[in-house]
Amino acid sequence: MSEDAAMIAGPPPGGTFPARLAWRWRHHHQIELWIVWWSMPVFYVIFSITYFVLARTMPPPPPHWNVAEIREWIALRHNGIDIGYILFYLTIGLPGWHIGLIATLLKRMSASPAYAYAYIGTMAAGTVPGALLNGFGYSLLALRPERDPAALAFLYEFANLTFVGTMGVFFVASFILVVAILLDRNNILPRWFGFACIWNLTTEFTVAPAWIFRHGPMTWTGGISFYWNMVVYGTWQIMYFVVFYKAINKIASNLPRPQASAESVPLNAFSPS
Amino acid sequence: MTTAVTTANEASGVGTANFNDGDSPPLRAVDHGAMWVYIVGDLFIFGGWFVFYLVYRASEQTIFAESQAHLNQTFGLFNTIVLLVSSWLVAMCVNAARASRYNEAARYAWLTILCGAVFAATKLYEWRSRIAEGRSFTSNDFFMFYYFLTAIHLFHVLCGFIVLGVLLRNLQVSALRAQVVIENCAAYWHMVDLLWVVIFALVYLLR
Repeated sequence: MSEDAAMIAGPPPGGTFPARLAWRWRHHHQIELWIVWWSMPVFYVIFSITYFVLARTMPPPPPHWNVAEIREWIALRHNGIDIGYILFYLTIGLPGWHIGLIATLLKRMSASPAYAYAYIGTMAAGTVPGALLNGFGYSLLALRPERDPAALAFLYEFANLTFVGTMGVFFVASFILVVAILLDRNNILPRWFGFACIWNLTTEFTVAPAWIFRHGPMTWTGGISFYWNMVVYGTWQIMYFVVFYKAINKIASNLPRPQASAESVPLNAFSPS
Repeated sequence: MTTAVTTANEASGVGTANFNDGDSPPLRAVDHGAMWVYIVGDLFIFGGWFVFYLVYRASEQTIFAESQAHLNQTFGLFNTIVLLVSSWLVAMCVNAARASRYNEAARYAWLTILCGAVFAATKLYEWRSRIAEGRSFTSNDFFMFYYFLTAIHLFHVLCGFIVLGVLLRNLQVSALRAQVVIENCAAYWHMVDLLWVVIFALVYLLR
């Protein structure tokens, strides 16, 4: 930190509360950083409430059900699917905000910036079938459960397979993380996390057979393709949050922090600790 | 926020390094723990799949016993010997590298790759024979597990070629040479060998 660094003063003395708040919003970059960061945990909470509590579409129902069983399953969840997925569609954009932040971290790595753009692209490609199409399928089932039995069966399979069967997109996303972290020389993320991403990458392979089987451990609700995959994914996701939280915290601690008093802080206090 | 982060990036010089940059700092010290996180996790994941195999085998004993009889145990044994030899070769490679005999170590690494290639070719030939007999991935639960476990293991073998390539590069480029990287690569290959030994015992031998 240089001695003659440019300085930020605190909010002008004697200003009104809204003026002081506006000043802090403009200058206190930590606030923006953490809003963007917390968008992801908030999204995951909404996602969990939608899928596990309101709509109860997770864990997925079996792939071998007949139309009568599918109709009964929808009838039990009709209102939950309506309310849950409306909430979900309203917040579906939140991960994009967060992934932009992750991409910023990837760009700080010494590996090519192409990894950051590739990560954004693969995550966006994964969201369309894995969240939107899946949700549309369930919402359409709930919208008109009396529809033609063939159409009902199609929507049921479509909704479930788009969620589980397209996890392969995240195989590529994990691969991008692995390569970027292992090539990085700037110590942006710990090297062990790069290796841990290979776990996720390996299990994403096992969802592909969900497109083939209607019985057994490889179906969309099977022990291998879904449950064991979720155990590994869940473990990895916790690591993901901890590792990225620490990396973001490192950035936040180096951003200028306006003082409540008239004391000032350096503008270029950006150097990594 | 974006401006702030970008400014921070530029101000600190972090993230502006090019991966082809001749002035880039040397590769950071690679700790042993990083690769072991992967190895322990991968063994855990395979362990789960082995448990699923045993559970399904317990509930479909007749189908599993009849289907297993169609596997060629000679192929399985040959594959096991090839991988055990490859493990010995990669261990010799590590020993030679420790003694700074890098050319000898590179020869051992090439022989390890050759063993991996023989394993992969044998496996593909074995699959071709089974499929020609009409026993495919969807025939029954035994063959589903057989193709699944051997395919995911073969994927590890193929990744092993990349890992062994990293090992060779470390041996051949003195600026990159780091014993810990060589040992990490060898540890990966030993894991591939260990997984095959368990798959061989479970799928080919267990009655």
